[in-house]
Amino acid sequence: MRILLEALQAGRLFELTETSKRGAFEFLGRVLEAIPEIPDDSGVVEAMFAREGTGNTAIAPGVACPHARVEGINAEIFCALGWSSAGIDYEAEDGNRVNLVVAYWIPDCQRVGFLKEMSGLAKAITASGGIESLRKCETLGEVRHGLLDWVTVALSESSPDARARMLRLSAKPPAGEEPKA
Amino acid sequence: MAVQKQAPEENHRTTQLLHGPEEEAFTSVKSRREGLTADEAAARLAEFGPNSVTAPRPRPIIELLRKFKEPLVVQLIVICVLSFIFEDDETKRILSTSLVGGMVFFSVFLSYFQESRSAATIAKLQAMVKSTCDVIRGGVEITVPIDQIVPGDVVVLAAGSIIPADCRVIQAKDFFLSQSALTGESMPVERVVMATVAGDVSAQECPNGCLMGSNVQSGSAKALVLATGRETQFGAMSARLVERKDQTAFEKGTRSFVWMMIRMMLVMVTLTFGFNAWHTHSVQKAFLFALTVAVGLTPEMLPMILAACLSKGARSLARLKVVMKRLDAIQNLGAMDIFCTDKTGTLTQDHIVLQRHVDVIGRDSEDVLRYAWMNSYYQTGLRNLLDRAILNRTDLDVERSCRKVDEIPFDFQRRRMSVVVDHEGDHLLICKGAVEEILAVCDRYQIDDEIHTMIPLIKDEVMEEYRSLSAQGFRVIALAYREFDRSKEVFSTADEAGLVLLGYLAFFDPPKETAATALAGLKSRGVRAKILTGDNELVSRKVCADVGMPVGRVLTGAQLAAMDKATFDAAVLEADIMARLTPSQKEQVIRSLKAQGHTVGFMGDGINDVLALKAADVGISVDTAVDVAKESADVVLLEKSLLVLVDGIDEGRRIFCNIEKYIRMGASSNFGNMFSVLGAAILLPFEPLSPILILLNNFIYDFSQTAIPFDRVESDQILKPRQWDISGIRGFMVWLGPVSSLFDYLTFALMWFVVCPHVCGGTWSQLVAAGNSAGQAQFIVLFHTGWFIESNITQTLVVHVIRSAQMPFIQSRASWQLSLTTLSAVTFAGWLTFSPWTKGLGLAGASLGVTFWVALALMTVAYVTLAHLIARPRLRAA
Repeated sequence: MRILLEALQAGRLFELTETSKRGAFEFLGRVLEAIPEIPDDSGVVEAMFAREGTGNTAIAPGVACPHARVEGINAEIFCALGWSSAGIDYEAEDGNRVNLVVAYWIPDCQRVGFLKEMSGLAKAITASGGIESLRKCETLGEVRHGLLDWVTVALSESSPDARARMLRLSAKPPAGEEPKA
Repeated sequence: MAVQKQAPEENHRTTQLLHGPEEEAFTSVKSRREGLTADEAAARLAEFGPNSVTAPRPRPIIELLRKFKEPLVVQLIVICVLSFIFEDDETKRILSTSLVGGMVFFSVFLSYFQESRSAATIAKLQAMVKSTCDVIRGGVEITVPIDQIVPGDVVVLAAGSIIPADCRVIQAKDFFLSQSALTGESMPVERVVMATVAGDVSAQECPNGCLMGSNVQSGSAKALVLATGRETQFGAMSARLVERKDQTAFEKGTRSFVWMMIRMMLVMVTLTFGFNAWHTHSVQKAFLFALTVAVGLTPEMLPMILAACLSKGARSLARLKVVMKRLDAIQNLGAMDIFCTDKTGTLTQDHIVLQRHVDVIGRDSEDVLRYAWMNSYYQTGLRNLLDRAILNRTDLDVERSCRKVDEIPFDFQRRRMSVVVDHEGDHLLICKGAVEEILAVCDRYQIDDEIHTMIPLIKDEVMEEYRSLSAQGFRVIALAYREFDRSKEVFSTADEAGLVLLGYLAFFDPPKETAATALAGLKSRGVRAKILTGDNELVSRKVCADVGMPVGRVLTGAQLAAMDKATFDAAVLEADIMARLTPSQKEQVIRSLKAQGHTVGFMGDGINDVLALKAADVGISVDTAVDVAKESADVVLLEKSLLVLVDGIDEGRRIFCNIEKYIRMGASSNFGNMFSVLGAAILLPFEPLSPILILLNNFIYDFSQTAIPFDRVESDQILKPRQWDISGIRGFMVWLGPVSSLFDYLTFALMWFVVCPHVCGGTWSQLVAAGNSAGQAQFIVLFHTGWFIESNITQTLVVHVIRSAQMPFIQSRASWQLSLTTLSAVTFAGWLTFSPWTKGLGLAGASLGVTFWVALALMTVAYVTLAHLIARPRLRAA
């Protein structure tokens, strides 16, 4: 949730006037491309649509995380948030309109960070009672506070879920050689 | 004790041993859990005989006598008997009976001889493709041929195994059988260990019974053999349950040709009899002549030609390391126009190497290799090539610190398998399998040592690694695990849930160097290749691209499942690759292509290919395939190469071409003879040929055809799939028959107007008017001699015309065997007219004069030329 927190701190939460998916993508794409670390004309919108082609990026009722992956750039992940109180038609599998769109720009070297961010966000949404808590907000400022609450919840939850205790085995010693006690 | 329900064929003792306590079964067959010793097994093999349900071959005399039941032979025998009864002249009676008897002998003995050779060839070849079974002998697991299994053996069964005998399950793990061959039930049934079975249950339904004729779909087991060979339920039923496969296109074609000839013969015989009776006013004489004509029109050598062609083909194919399990499949091999195959081992080398072991984001991971190794090491089911590749990659010291707790075997519904290992107080379930199936049961994933929640979006993300590896041509499987409390000892498929996705294993199977050449060979022969695979479309595309196979439409099993029948039929015909297919979808694709009029071959080697192998016109497997796949195939390749298959296709087409030669030759010359005899019966005041000469002519002609199976086939004749074409044969009859008749009528005219009047001192009318009966008799003998020679030459030589579209004798020459027999036949017929027996036969070659021989030579050249010009376009179109 570090990336989302940074975006909120940087003021990248906007009211979405568009209620179409394309409109939302284009708006948030422009916001991302305005970030100095992100190269101009990096095709963020096209990359987000290409990703949608492999599967819808709605991650919970009312919340979607479209993202553009880029190769060959060594940089941080950035995200921008869009809020639509009316909801946009996101063609989500659950049929719900999406109110919160969190668009990510992910250099390929940051895939691990993005996966962890997604797992954290999914946990925070579940723990905070889902999008319903945000839908009650009347202003963008209230939405921002609500999202900060999500971040707080996520940080208080244990992350990762668990630490793996992998089974360790060594290769067999060559024939005739006794293993050490 | 309750009365147990039994099928009519059921072995009562087997049923009892399945119902009673396990120890009683062991005692009854004098065995133990560690199995028999090698000496005990040998003694029992001597006592009970080989474990085979095949009835021993009948004695040669019985097999020979069976040949007399063939419709064409029965017809000849009836004619032979009638000639003997109705012929008044003693000499003629003996001669005609001997000639027809000779033909019967010729047909029956040659076909018996050829079929015996075929049977011996097949037996020898089948011995090269032995099914085997794992058995515990002397406490050690060994592999033996299935026919060496004896009562008391303890057999080890895994997915893909054939149940070798009637057995009782003594240890089982998720053990499912297909009993479709035995009961017709297509759904797998589970078999378990049971102390006793109560109630009215037949052996087939006993939950602890696995009977011969079944095969293992999934799971693993050990079983005690209760009965073998003909003592099994299957053995008892086999006499009544000889599996009747659908009639092949070849059988249907042969049958329809024979019936066409019989119908033609009946019409011809009736008309000839009518006209002759009207002309000669002698019903008996007309009847005898009609019978003789019937013999002339009978394709009595067909069984022999078929047997010889197929037998020769089987031997040629054996030299190419292609084993024909059913002889008539040779023709189907040549007729095949769509060839479906799984890509493994046909397009690729089937030498699978574990190339990469990566975590969920594609970084090399030793944990993935270690866990995969343990899974492959501990599994006891069918170890496939992927398992072997994993085990070859490393060798871990597991015995000191790990213990196997349980196993959940692989099946084609789940497409995954698990082992459970006890390690330092934890029970660790390690599951590997198809990526989609593993992801479906994962709710977490691991990166480094962190375990995170899995959500659908993340599944899409981690699938990208899989797609990327697949697109590079790797075959990819996924690996996941879950820890359980040590108190849990027994596991089932329900425990494959809530797993942690650990990573992927990427295998590489390099494309075969010969695959591109072989695919080009198939294409140039009019055979379209299609890939039917359980693997994903990305790998399949990559492999096809590597071997230069053009890929148009690609379909997945899920897409096919959503289609209605019409769309499905059109789609499978169009598609080049059908990926992610289930075994039953492979079968559906084959059946759809067949229903659309194609002759479909399918090549497969796995248990998942069995349904498709059975459904195909030609099921092709390889010697390294699982037993049940080899058993289901018509053809077994001892070398897993498409190049061998291309050679097999060529051989199948050559054989069919030679069979076609006999058919065309017989059909066209018989049709021509029909016109000639009918015309002669109307126009001539005497029979155009005596019955003896018709039979003799036929006998000589039959002999000339015995070398057809050894004839060479032009390369352009094997470029297209060869299928039965009755309308094409009719075309030959309708066009070549009248040509043959035309030259018969020319001969009639030559004899009637020129040769006979010149030699006999007057025309027929003049001789009749003068009451010159000696002159009339000489007229008839000369006429008969002339037509006997001409008919024999044209009928015999026509094989050289219809054997190739190229110019006979100049551009295309027959094999030396066929040249020799046809030349011998013609020479012998000519010689007969000068031989010491001319008087008895009613021939007079010496009196014919130079005019006749010159005219005959010219007519023969003209006939061959005209026949070639007429046959050529038809042969090219065929």
